[in-house]
Amino acid sequence: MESSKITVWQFFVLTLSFLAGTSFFFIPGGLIAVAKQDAWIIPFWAGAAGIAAALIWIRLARQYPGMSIIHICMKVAGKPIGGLLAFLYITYFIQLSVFITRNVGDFMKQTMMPITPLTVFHSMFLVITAYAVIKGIETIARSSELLFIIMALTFVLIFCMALAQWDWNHFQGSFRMNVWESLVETRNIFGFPFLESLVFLMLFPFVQAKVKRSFIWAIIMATALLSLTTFFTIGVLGVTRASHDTYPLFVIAQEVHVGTFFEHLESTIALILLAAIFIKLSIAYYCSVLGLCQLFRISSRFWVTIALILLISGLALGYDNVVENIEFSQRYDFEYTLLYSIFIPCLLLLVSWIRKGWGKRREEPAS
Amino acid sequence: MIWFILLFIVIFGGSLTLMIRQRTEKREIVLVTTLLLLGFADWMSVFLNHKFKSSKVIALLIDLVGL
Repeated sequence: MESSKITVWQFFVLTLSFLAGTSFFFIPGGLIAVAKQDAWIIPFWAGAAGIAAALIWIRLARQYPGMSIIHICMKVAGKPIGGLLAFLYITYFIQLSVFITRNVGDFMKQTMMPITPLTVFHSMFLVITAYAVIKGIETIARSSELLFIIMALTFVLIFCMALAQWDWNHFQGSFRMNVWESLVETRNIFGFPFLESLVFLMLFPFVQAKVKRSFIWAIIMATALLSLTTFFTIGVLGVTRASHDTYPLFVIAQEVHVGTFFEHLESTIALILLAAIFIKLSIAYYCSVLGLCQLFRISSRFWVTIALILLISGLALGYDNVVENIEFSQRYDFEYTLLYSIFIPCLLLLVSWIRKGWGKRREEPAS
Repeated sequence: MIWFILLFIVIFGGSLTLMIRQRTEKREIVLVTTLLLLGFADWMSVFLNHKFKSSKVIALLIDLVGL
């Protein structure tokens, strides 16, 4: 296995960028469509569920220090069943990479370059990401450290400029949400972005110290940011407009006017999104490659990374349009992610506890 | 499509030759070959207008389980 190490701050930035990076673009519209003026409350309970899930993953990782989820599966469930579980995790990481790649294509085609074929965006982005993956987790962590600052500053700048269009009247009719109905209809927010951060089970062994604290803080920060972005979107665009746009934050940036000097900042916000997607895709892609290398005990990542470009770019064309993509996310994403993020880790924890209990019983009569 | 097939054959042959010359492990060659062939099959399904939809497979499985 790779002997790279990442610092606590780098791990925090990676987690925060992974969680908040793309979700503040894709999530608010859907939330506002369901929960109207109260949509900003939804990230809080999703974040709480994310923290609960994170505690399960950390517990599992602490039982097997220095091991990734692939190694843990093999260790707990043995070679045949553990291998199958590890393979399932790898397919999940690949599917996640496919989903993220498709998001880049859809976003670029809809907003910036409608005539360019989707494959061009997919292949160009995948080649850059593959280069980062070949270079390793340290490179990804360092580049995300740099990009994070640029992303944060630009986001704050656009946020401040758009405040000129803020209208408190957009919040009239607040606190009338049907909690259970909203919970069910917006359940995809549990999956994307919170539960899909299970990919970090692959990266825990690389972190030098304080995994739990930085991971939980990153989830808390991401929850707050997501809620703030949704609140901001409602305040600036209003419920009707925000719920009818696929990318409401992009529309906000399009309408920013500060005199005649600062206008049409949509390209700037598109750049932020591309940087965020780069970080997220790098992590998912890296985990797929690392998982394959660990499962098949391969020492070099180069050829596996190159071969995966073809598969991911092909699978990313498997959606007919952005509506199909959104529909899948709303209907199946939560259930799909639940299996990998809660069900299998709990099963692994249970088996390891039972095994430890048996081991102690055997030792007692012998002593 | 013909250009894609030609390009694939060139890349596939080239990478295989390189891997064999570099004395890459056998299982790595097998894994890379499998991944490349899977990718190729997926791209062919796109070209032949019978797209393989991974999301549809997942949706079918979830519906089958009844979640």
